Amino acid sequence: MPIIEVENLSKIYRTQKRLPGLGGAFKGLFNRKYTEVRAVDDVSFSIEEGELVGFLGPNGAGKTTTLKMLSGILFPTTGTAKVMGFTPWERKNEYRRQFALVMGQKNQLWWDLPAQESLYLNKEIYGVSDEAYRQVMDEMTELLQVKKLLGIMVRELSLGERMKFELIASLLHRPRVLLLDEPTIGLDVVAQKNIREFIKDYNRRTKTTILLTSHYMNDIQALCERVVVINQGKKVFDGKLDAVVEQFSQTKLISVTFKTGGVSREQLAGLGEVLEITPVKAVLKVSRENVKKASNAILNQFDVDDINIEEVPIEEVIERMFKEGAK
Amino acid sequence: MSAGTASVSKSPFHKYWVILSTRTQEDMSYRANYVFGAIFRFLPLVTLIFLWYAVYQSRKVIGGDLTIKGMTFNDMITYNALMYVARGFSSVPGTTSDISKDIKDGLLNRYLIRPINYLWYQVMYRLAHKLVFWYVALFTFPPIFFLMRHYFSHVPTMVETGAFVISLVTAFCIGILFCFMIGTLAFWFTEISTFLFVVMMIEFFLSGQMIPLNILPQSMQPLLMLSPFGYEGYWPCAILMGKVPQDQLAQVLGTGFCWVVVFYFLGQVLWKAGLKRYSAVGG
Repeated sequence: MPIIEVENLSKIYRTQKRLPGLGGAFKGLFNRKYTEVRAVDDVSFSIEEGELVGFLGPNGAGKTTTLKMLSGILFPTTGTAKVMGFTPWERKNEYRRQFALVMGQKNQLWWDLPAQESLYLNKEIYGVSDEAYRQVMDEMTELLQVKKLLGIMVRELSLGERMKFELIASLLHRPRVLLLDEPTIGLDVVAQKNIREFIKDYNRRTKTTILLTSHYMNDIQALCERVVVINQGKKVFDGKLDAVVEQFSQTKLISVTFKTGGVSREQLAGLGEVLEITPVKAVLKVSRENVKKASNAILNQFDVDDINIEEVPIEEVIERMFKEGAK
Repeated sequence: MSAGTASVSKSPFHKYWVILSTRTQEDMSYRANYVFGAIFRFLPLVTLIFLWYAVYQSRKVIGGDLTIKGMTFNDMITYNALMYVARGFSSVPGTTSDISKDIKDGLLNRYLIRPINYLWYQVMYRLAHKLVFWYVALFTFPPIFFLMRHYFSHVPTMVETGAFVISLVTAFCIGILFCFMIGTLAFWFTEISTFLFVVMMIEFFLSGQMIPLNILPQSMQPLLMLSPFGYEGYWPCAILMGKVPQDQLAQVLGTGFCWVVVFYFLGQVLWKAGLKRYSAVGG
């Protein structure tokens, strides 16, 4: 049985529509007009225990809204969700003790105290036993290399260090389901990598089910085999990350190195879109069905040293997917 | 190591105790701020002494009564000094605005996802403030009260002292529960600061901080005596000064207790309704 089951989940926000300008503001006092925004539109998916799934979509696609419904902060307009058999928005304590939501920009640590105090507070809130607490603390502070920082005021920590403590605070009670909303947002590349590696390792060792949103493709590529892509509230893809490319990219890239230079853009133009050209090297974008024909033609017409056929980088594919969806 | 092995330990109230002690530690780091506050908050008292002195003098000049509704000049000064003690319990600065900010900025989410009760969290958080406040006040209030000793004429009885202590607890409960109720209005209105200002002015007046409630016009007395706000200032002072007849003490304290219960339930109703709205329109 899946640990997370979402069926036909929709969330419609009603927002007040205001006419522009001062006049509009006054009119709005008496005659309010509302518009409906479908933040999440009939989304269904299910996640098995132990999976690490990436939740992908541009800003405003409905990722965070979905996570908020799964963590019980928001009621859906229609549809159902079950997480570990619980309906999240009933907010049962038993449910709240078994999951965690980490929001990259929302802080749960107390600013004017050392991190260890906030961690201890969380231990008590979740009713974690002393022994389990010690065990988790030893392990996590070691893994994330923050043991020495436990006694430092939170306000004096860097963003990356705070994020690490934020993660520890959320994992003290060993949640079975971990929802991560942009865990690496605002972090530098090194800190991003640290957090990413930790999440991957944690998922592998503990079999904790993780649903992660991020708009850094690097995060998703490094962590998730499976992705659920949503755009404008609708689910547009659910499957292996590699399959995104196959399904959404109609083109491949051919890179050629020539033995003798002097190949011009015009000579290649008929074969595909020329993305890059130097006297000895060229990159062409060619539609999938034409790849064979184009590479044969190149091999026949030019003095080729090396030829390489690659998929378009996933980042580009997804970016295009979003753009097309937005039209 | 496997997920979901957290075991429950200790009583469910233990976590609230830890919130109290953690917040007290945090508040202690601002103790200098408290010391300043504890000393300089008495400055307005100097003005009040001059003001009431002028009032009583003018009555003397025209040959009028030297008491106002049974309050002598010394009583008036004692009342204003004791008001600092009462407000030390009933005032919970920042509570309303913090709560409304949590609601408006979606910070409430971090409480909603954890096994914790937001009202009790707030109560502990503010209680910590009171603890630190009184820790500092133990050093600053006695010298000031000592300097003012010749104004104090009434020696409270054991019963009055006991009733005074109960009234201070009531003052804290009414103070925090009222702030909680007003704070929850942020579920419905995005900007409540003007409303808050008006409410605070009314509270200021009705709690007797400006003028003792018993010297206000007779026609207002029934309203003033039954209002919940009197418990935030007037009643504790009046009780310790012996202005409440002993046979009325139980009634006064009982009414205060009723207000605590009413405010608690009103707060719960507002909170539940507000949360429903919050969860429906976005967090």
